[in-house]
Amino acid sequence: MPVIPCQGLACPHPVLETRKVVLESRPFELAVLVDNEAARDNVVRFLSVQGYEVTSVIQDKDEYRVEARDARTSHPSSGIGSEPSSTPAASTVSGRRILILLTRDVLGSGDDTLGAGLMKNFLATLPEMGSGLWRLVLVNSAVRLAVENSPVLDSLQTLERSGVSILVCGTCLNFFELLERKRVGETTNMLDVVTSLDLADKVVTV
Amino acid sequence: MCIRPDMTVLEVVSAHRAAESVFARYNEPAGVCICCQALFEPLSIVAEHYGLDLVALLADLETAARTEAAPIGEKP
Repeated sequence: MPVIPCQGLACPHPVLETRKVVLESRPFELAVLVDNEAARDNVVRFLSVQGYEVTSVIQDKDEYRVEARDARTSHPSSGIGSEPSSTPAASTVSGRRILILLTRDVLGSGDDTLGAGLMKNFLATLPEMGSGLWRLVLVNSAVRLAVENSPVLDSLQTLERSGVSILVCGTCLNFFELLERKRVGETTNMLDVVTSLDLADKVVTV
Repeated sequence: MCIRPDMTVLEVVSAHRAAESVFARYNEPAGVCICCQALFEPLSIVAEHYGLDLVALLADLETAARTEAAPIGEKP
């Protein structure tokens, strides 16, 4: 496993060093050593966006060892390592990564009062999808769902606590002047959204 | 213009080594280390969130990008 030593490096260099290794050789497994929390968090986020599953973050005094494995490919020594790297593999228990792209704050068109109720029911029922549910991406007016006083905030927070990743469009939050009111999910950008769509095995647009 | 408001801090510093010093200059008015706390944010969001002048930031980054020796990954 390649180890990327980034102790003593200030942000953004730990991420840049990690990026360099990922772009050049995309190792199946790697470890990154950092010595501050910001670098740790940024490396974890970068690896996650790049399709790596962070398997452990080990703290030893002031140092952190971030270990990750490529969630898109099988291990080269697993006997099925000939699988092409572009083939998504299991990162969830069910073996699929389902991404829900929410583009509105209501479900369906016709009556927004009904649509708001349907959206609330939809998000409350999503856990029934099981472990295949990997990520929610909220764009346009759907970002209103992730802010304080949202009628579905509890459902989204429950999903996040269960391990579902929630990405909230930063440009959209800014447009609706809701940046300071977001209460769930990570503020994200179009690069993360596009990368997520590429990594997902199945995309459901709502 | 090669630096756009929708580019993230990471995209900019990945492509232009000189951008790091520009962001460092903006750390004080922002009140945070931009490359630590907003590495994955678009420049427009960074400016909005931390009360920075987006036009000035873009201009400074553009100047730095144009005057640097060579983008990262390319030979001078």
